[in-house]
Amino acid sequence: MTTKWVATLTLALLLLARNRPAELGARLRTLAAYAPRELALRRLGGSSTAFDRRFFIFLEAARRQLPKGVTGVALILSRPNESAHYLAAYQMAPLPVALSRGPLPPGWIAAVYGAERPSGWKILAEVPGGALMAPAPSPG
Amino acid sequence: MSFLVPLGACAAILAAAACGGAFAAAALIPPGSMLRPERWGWGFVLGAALIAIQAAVAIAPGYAPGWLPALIAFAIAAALAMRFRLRDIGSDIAPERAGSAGLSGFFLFLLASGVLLYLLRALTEPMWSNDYIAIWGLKGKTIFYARRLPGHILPSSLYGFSHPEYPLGLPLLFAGAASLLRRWDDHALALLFPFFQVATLGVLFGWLRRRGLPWPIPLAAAAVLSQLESLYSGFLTGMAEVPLSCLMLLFGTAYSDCLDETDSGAGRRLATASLLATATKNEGLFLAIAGAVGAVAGRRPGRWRAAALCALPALAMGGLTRVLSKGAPLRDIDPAFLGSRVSELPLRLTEALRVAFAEGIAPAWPVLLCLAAFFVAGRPTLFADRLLGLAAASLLVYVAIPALAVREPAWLVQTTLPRTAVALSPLVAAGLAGRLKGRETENGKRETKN
Repeated sequence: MTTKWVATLTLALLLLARNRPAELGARLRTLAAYAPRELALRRLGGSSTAFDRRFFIFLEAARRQLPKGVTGVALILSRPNESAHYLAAYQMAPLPVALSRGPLPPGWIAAVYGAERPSGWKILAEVPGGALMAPAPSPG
Repeated sequence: MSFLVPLGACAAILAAAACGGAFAAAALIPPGSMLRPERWGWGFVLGAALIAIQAAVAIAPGYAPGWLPALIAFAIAAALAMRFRLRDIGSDIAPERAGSAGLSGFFLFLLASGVLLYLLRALTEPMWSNDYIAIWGLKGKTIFYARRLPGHILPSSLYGFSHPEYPLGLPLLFAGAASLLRRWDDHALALLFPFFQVATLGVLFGWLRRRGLPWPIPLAAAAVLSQLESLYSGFLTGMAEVPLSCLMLLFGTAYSDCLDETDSGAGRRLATASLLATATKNEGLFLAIAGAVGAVAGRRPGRWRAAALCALPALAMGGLTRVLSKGAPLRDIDPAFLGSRVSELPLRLTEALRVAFAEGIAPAWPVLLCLAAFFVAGRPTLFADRLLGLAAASLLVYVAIPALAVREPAWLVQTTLPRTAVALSPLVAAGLAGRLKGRETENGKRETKN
């Protein structure tokens, strides 16, 4: 057998060996288990939410309860991080999302993750894991 | 809704797009059974491009992308294909069959399993990688729902992480395909990527066969490539590397065909591939420029035409991307390292090379040893060596660019080099396999020796 076929077979086997049977089995089981479920549940079971699955439940619930006319979402997290920011930006798209505790632009509301409820803000809706809030109108 | 319904719908849409694209490919690929695998590979890519184009054209005046714009786009493409269809048969000679049945059966099994394994990886969950969420999927979803380009919706002050400077080809494809599905389903849309894999393998097999290799070699090349988990991974599903790797192969094969004047469609294919690769990722622009420089340096007849076909579509698309991104700067690159801080460049380049070797090359030594064996087993073959030259030039740029990184070079090497480099694999596979057999006559036509 010539060098080219030895190299071909070696390379093919090297690449084939990277498929661990345990991983393939797990993928097949995951696909079978999640296929009948709705898309949000499939994403919930996936890797993009693995850093905090409760955060995804909060995000999806908040997205579904956004009041009409909202033009942006300020995300308030006790421990801001990139993964949460990016996932929120994706889930809420095309609405812009900002990690912010400051004054909100007109039409924006806040999605507050966790038990914190900033003072001077009113609750628009309680959602699993947090709340949708907006600055309370100033008296007078 | 169960996954199977949108998945089936997406499969039907992509298959229909491939059929429409294969019809349109008559303007790029001459008739003849020898070109059939390439026609279908190109067909899917053209179909995907038409889906993206209908989305772009529909949203420009504020309309919704969908079936009507798509049907119009495919009808126009079909009419143009009929008007400009190629009628000559390519000049290549079909080689005779050779090789053992056992070996061929093994590679067929390997090829089928490679496609099925990638299908499993891609569909196991919705697209999930960080760059899909923060860049490609975010923009696609924004275009689909807002019917406007991301630059008009997502303020750059908040969305710098989404790389506003990147080309919009893939997000437009996501949005266009979702408009045909009539919903944003980021799980079913993952099917795009196994389709790109199959298109890549088809073009690889078809081009090597057309270039005169006995069929076990193209089959082995496609089979081995199909098993490349570092390219066909769940992680890269949703990102630009898999489509880009396909377009790089289309570019490389068309480039070599154009320089050898194998058929009347080679120039059109080269210009199309240059345009689409640049519309997918900035690396496509590097490749087109490398091709233009290589063509001029090659001193073959028709080199200026080939250089123009490489560079002009890419520069036009690069310019359009700049306009659409409102001149957004390259986020990860600091041009000061080419100016006021140029004295730091040698040290940073050394650091980039060190990390690239330690974390990219050294751990992959068994695979690289096999590739070296292929290279040694082959012989200088101009049509194939050009593809290796393009891959080497691109790799050189990918290794050097981290020296200009805003953060330390190691960071950019670690986060981008493995996936940008692996997107060159189809080019490398075609180049190495092409060297295993073939000799060219002085006028650049193929001569087959079995």
